[in-house]
Amino acid sequence: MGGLPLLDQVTLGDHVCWTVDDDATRLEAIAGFVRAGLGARHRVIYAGDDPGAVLAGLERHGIGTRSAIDQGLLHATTAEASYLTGGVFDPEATLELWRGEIARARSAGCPGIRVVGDMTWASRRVPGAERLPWYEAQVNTFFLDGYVAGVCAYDRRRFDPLDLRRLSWAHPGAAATRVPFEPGSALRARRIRDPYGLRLAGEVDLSNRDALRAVIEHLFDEEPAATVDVSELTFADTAASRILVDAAGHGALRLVGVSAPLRRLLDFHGARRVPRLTVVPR
Amino acid sequence: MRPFDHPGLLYRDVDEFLAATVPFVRAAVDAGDPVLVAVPGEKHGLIREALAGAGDRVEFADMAVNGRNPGRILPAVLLPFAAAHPGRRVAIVGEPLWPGRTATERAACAVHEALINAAFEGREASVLCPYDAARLDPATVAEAWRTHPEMIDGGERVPSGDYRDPLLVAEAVNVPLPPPPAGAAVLAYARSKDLAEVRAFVRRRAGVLLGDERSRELVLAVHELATNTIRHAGGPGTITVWTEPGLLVCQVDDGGHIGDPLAGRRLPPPSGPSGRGLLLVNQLCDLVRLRSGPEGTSVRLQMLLT
Repeated sequence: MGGLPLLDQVTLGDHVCWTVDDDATRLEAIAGFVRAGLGARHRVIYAGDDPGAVLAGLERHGIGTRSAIDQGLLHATTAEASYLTGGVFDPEATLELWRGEIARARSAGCPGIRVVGDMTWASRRVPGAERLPWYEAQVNTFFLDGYVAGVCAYDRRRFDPLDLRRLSWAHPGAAATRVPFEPGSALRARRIRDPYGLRLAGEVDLSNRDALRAVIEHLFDEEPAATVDVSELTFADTAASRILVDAAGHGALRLVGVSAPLRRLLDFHGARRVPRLTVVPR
Repeated sequence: MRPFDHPGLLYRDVDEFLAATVPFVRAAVDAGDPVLVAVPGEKHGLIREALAGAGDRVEFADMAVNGRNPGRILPAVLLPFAAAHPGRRVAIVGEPLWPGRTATERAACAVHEALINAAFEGREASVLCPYDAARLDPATVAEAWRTHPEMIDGGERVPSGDYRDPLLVAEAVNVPLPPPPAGAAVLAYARSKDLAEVRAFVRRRAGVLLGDERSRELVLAVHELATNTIRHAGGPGTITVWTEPGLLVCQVDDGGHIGDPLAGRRLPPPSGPSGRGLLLVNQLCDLVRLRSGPEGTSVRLQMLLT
């Protein structure tokens, strides 16, 4: 007890890679995340190893798990019943499962969903686990509506550092044992409807570049033209701005709220010569 | 096809300067070749006047601005001009050095001059490089003999006995960086999640000294180098920041090895993956010195205090 409030700043719409390396800190942070969710009447889901032990731990942290479960607010399930239905990791099936979960919560009038995924199962050489980085990138589109908050807990003691590095790059935000989730240095991407597109906020660098690439990849899934509002994007590096320029290869892209430094980077990547790209300064 | 031609010109006064540069430009204009005169802005008027009407068919670039960082002369001045005239022989007057350049800048200029030979190898181009032999120190003039296959001295063109393989010369003139001062601020980084701290570290030290825009440029430059470390050198690295008279200096050290001597000086391919970090760094900073070997890479960036 008394550690840093690691996940207190996570809100609906955030998808955080959380590298954990000590069980007490881990449970304490999960308890804080669950408590905040139950307080807001969010549906809270824990999926991973040992849900029984996690529920018991939450009780010790003063969370009335029994009544929350009875009210349908809290659900703790195993990896086998979530990520590994069918005995293997099937990313498409898992995405489908979450899509259904979101639809059910919405139709029940629930104001939001919080998910804690304990990813330890992926360190056990499960067939399909090699596609986890792809899954972690794709799942970002589920967060664009600001309805779901997801924390993926990766145990540093169980994963190869290089694998962990690639996995973390697919998350817009990160937290670790002594490093709380910091919204200012994370990427926040939200869907906008009028005009159709995305609003980006925060910072994009190597640590979350794959997350940006994944949401941009799906930008033109629904419409042939899109607007990306970058007025709240406080930092983007060359690779990130390259992703934005390249996006115009797939549809008509209007970038609005472009700062002078970002404009320079876009031009560095030849933005002025891209026919379907419109850049509107801040 | 005439081979690539890269003579150095030693001049001792304005007359000698014009006596060599003006016929060079005029001959190219008469041959219908595109011409770029990239010399310090104060000389533009002189040349224009001496060329009379032919000056209208010449492009001018202010080397004191565009070439302030010698590392960007190739990718931002010379190569784009050549690329804008595909299939044509281009003629360029390029004067990267002038009295007042610091020792660090002179070393960077020598590396640049050596690398011109590698960057333009096999291309249809003539690059004439004037050196103010009356005011530059003898060591700088001696370097010119090492980096140019031929020299024009006293109006006479002679092969340089000191010229060697361009990459070996670039290596030889790339003198070691003096160590950072003892009181410099140091930050170690290793993982992508450290990048936000890298940016904050540089921002804290650069903000007041450089102002908003220039400090953002330095932050971005250091960020790109640190990103390269994490991606390609496998981390860790260190960032060291200090001030020198008139300068904010920032050095990024890591265990990687940059094998391409022209890294950061080539024109980027129109598409393809990243690898433009160093090119951007050259465009953002007032000076970039790079030393790389099997033992690691050091990149030193300088920003002028205003």
